[in-house]
Amino acid sequence: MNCALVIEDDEVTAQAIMTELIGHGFTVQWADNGRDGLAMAIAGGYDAITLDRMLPDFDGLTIVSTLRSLGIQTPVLMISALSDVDERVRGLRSGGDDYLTKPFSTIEMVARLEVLLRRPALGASSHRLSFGELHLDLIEHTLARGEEQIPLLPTEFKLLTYLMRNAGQLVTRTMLFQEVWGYHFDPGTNIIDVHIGRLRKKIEGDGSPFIHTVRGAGYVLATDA
Amino acid sequence: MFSPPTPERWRSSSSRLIGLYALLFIAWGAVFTGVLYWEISHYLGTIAQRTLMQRAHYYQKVEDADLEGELASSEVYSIPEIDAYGLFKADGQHISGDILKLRASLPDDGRVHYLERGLSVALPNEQTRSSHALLQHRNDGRILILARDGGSISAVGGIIEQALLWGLSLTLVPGLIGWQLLRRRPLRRVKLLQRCTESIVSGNLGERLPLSPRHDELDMLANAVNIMLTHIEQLMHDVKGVCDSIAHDLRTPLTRLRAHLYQLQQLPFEGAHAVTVSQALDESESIMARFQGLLRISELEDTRRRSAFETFRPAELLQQAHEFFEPLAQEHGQTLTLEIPDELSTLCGDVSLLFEALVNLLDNAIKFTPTAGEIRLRGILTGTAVILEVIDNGPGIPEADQESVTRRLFRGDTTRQQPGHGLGLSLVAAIARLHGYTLSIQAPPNSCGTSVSIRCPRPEMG
Repeated sequence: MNCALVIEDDEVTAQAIMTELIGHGFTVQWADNGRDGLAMAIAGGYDAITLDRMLPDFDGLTIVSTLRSLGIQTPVLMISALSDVDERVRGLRSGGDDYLTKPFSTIEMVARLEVLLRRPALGASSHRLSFGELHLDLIEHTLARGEEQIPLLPTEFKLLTYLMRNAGQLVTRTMLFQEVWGYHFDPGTNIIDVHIGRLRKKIEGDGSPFIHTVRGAGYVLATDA
Repeated sequence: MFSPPTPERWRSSSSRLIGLYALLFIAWGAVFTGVLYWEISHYLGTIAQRTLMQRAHYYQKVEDADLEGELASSEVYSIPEIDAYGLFKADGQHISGDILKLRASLPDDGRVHYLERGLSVALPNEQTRSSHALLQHRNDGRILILARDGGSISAVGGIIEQALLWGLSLTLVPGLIGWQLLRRRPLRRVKLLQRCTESIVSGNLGERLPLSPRHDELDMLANAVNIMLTHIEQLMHDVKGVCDSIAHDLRTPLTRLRAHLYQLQQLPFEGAHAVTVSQALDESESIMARFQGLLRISELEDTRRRSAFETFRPAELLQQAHEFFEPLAQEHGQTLTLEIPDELSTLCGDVSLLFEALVNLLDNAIKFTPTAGEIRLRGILTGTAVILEVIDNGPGIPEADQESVTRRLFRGDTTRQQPGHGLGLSLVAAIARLHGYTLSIQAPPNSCGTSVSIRCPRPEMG
């Protein structure tokens, strides 16, 4: 079972985060100020940390840069009321692994945290990704379903790579937009759905669906719903 | 960007002042000379009359027999070419004197008359210019004409005229040089002020108009503008402060509201309750989307965002936007075509923001263009700029709304039924403003629909 540390000074927000995390099978601990949060994070034993950017006592940036300077590599999801792009860059530069702006949906938060948790395992990834009968060659940029080669457009290839890397894991539309197109704003339309729809048609054929829609949240690549 | 045209030389206020001064000077000079001329000629005329009367009076008393001798001897004292006489027989035949011809029209009334046309004289010019003349019938029937040349009066006029010309040219030449010098300095300062104002308009509200140590009228004006700018900056700072605190204070409650509603949705409600909770959650999403949009525009209006500027290829940006939207257009049964020339120069800007702008424009185009409609994404290279353009053949934006569509939360009457928050185009406008680009919305020539273009000046063109 994964253990998460929630460093957040607002109780209601913290409760919402914790409820969602517990719902996803996490055990959770909460620190309501920067000083305690830093001490707990250093003491260790957590698989992931959600960190508010603005906190009493210690600032979120100070906490994450202190952790990194101490060699603690626990994945940190920074949550901030500051949505400025410069703020995002600052947060990520000081050692944060991902950055989420308030107000956020807790589903998005958990999805991001779970993706962060999988990251170390993906570090030593091979040149090939497989999911069921789908085989993706990351060097040749080819996709095979069983014996059949399926031609993909570059965008579709990127989409499928991200989904396959995070197979079984919820990925939100904003996460896909960020990963595949490289932009950090909300495109605000159902356009991601359309791209996913195209990809689905190509990879699923007449068989059972691989990419499942999670209503109001995003997509999961899974063999069953 | 506003930039009033540089005034023509004569349009500067110092030129006008000098011009007005020159006009007044010329008018004054003309009046002065006129009065002087009139006074002098009047005076000279009176003298001529009196002298002639005196001479006539003297010759009246001379015996007819002695007259000729008297005339010849008094000739010695007269001024040659000025004074003249002529003695004629009753039939007009010349007897003596420089005046050769009898002017019959001259009345014999013992008074001096002014003749415009000169009398015929012997030498040196045969004819004088004009003259005062007097005709006297002698008792023996002879006729005596006494004349005084009026040309001297004209000569005086000539002298005055020359003096006036010299005076004017001596005044005008240094005047023109002075005008050049006087004109340049204020113009230089006005240009400097203009540059400062442009910089302030483009967002550098902290800048102030420069003051000179002279404390002249321009400085008074610049100082007044500076005081005004300080006030405006303070007000904007206050407004931004209020906005920021509202934003900050609302973020957490909105996050909480969404969390509560989400928790509610997890509870086993049935029927109408579940629908209501679901609707409330959708509404909260919508509030948040608008809220994020508004915050994003405020954020963009903060010039700090310029830190993310870099050189990029607009062609690649357009290709990416085309590739991103092509499936959506296809799903709507529309065609989205990309038109870019072989060469589209590089630009300097925030790629992420410009992509966001294109996303908003294309999203609008797809939303408002009917099925089987046509949307064109174009990149155009002109001499000084790159133009990014989205053209659709949808219903178009009514002319009356074209100005308002970039206002925050504006929704035209025809678009109210469509989903959206009325923030897309104001976001695009804010992005264009941040870059110093020009956004224009119009109907494409010779067809219906909308053409939205962003004119991006090429950096190397200054």
